[in-house]
Amino acid sequence: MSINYNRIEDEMKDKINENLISPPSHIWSNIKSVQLEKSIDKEAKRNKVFRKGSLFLFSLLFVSVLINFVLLHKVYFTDGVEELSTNSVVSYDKEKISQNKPVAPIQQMEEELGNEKSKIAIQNEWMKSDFDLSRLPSSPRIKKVNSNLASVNFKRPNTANNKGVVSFNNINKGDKAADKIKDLPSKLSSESKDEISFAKIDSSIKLQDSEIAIAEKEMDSLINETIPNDTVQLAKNKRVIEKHLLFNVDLANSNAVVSNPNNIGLGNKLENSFSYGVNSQLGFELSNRFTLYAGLGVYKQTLKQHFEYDSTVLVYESIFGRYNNLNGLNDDEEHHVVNNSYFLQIPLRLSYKLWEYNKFDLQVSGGVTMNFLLSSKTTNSSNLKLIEQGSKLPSYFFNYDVGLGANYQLNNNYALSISPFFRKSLAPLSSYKSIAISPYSVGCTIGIKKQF
Amino acid sequence: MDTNKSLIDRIVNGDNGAQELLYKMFSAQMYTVCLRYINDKEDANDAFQNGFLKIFDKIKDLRNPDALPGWIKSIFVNECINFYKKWQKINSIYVNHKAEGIDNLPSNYSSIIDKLSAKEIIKHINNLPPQYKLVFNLYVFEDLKHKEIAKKLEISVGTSKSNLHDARRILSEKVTKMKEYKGLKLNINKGQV
Repeated sequence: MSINYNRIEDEMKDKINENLISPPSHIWSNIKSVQLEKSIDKEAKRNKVFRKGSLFLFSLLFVSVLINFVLLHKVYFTDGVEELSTNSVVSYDKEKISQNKPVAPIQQMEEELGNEKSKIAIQNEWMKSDFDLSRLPSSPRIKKVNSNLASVNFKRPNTANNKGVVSFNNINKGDKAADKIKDLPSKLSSESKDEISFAKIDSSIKLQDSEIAIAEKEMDSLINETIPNDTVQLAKNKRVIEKHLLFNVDLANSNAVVSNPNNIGLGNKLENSFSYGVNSQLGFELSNRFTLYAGLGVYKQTLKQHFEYDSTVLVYESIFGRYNNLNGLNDDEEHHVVNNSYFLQIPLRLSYKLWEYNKFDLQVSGGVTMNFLLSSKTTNSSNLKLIEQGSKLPSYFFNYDVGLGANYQLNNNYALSISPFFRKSLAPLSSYKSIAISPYSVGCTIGIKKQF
Repeated sequence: MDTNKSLIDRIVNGDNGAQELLYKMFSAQMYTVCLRYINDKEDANDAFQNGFLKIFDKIKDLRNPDALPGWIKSIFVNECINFYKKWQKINSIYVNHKAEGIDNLPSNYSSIIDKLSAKEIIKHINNLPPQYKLVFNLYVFEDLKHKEIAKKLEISVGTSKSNLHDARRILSEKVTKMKEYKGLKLNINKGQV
């Protein structure tokens, strides 16, 4: 016989639909408990990521500072070599200092040092700990002239210029190291010159032949390797790492990569808009080529979206929200929604010096910036009423950035820095209707580099 | 009464009352769906609970508020199918099963069904082998075509048709036997045997 299954099954269906079975009452409370648990987990996870991120950044900063102040600050004022420096720390009369006697001016110190022939180097740490620098008539300060020269700057009383710099000028490739070394005492004794070696403070010191031989050898190798234009450091074996401070202004064109824009309508796209920021960064030259930067800044990011009008529902849809078209605006007109956000930025980046010539150098750099949202405001150009909140930027997120950098040395202390960059969020920032936004900026950093 | 749109908006904005309202609106219907697919009550409860958690989580992505009832049902159906996929029960049970059933239905099959309660019908459906049950539910209750069922269950269209055929035969056999058994029980009670 032919069976009309469809009819029988329709009967089954109707019967079941008319006699629905209610779930046990405890399930609703289970659902609420799981939801609560999830929200707590989510918050905990978010806090954990935040804590880890912060810890990581601060660890890096701490390590950077540690490297700088523990290792890097061991700037040895040697114009000899390692073997010499062992016995060459200036042994200034600590007893006099401890008795609170006025510290002698430089000339007096020269006399007191007498015929000590091994006073080749001054260790910065020793100076800091044993000399009360503030009581010196002019506070000597450790300074780096460039990557190859450690020097001490100090004021010399009773001189026209009041300045003294440890330096070996006019050394060029092919120069005889021996000549320079032998020249030193006479150079130091010259009152008219402001150049004086703090290490060789006694102009009557004659270098021993063995010292000269070692120094010559060391200097020769330096001259033949990386000769700076006008100076050279004799003590290659003592690491000197520069610090400098950058004051930057970021000017950028910002936009965002938007995934699934169709989820909110008609293929809305963000338009390019101008963003800017200021920051300062401390640079630690880890080597001749690598520099680590860490800093702090504020950045204003603007994201601008063109409205697409949806005539079927009389709303304007955007990534930042749905707006009610109460005023009956025409689609022919241009309507925009603009999001302005301010971030506190903690940049951490590494740069690599590609090329150096005269006063120019060229670098590539890359790094990560942690952004903390300070404020965010979304406005529209047509006074439309917001009916549904859209994307919200998270309270913090990470950017990566890559860029080129060019520096022009203005003088010994300052350099002009120009760095084109590309910066983008490491991960999408929003989950509104499955739309992910990854802001990016293409711009240029213009800054002044102050060397210490 | 809340329209679907405003209900969704309230849920998206974290309104607990709106969540509860949605739950009350659809819980019985969806629980019945779960029971149609999953025999074990605890497992059915789990699928039902997970379904609602998924709904509250994903409702912000729903584009068309008018599609809310269909969307909710599809989530529960998928949850039930995933239950079987997860435990890999389909193949192991299906392979070992040899379809039985009767070719000739009693003429009063329709009236037999009519006399069964909803719970009994669900119980009979649930006693089908898993893959038959899935195909039967999807075809009869979710109104899917064989092509759609095949895609959903990752089987061929032919298998889907054959499963439906076997499911119908087994179901009719079970229902008929149950009727005969009930009739027998009734007669015993009346002292006619």
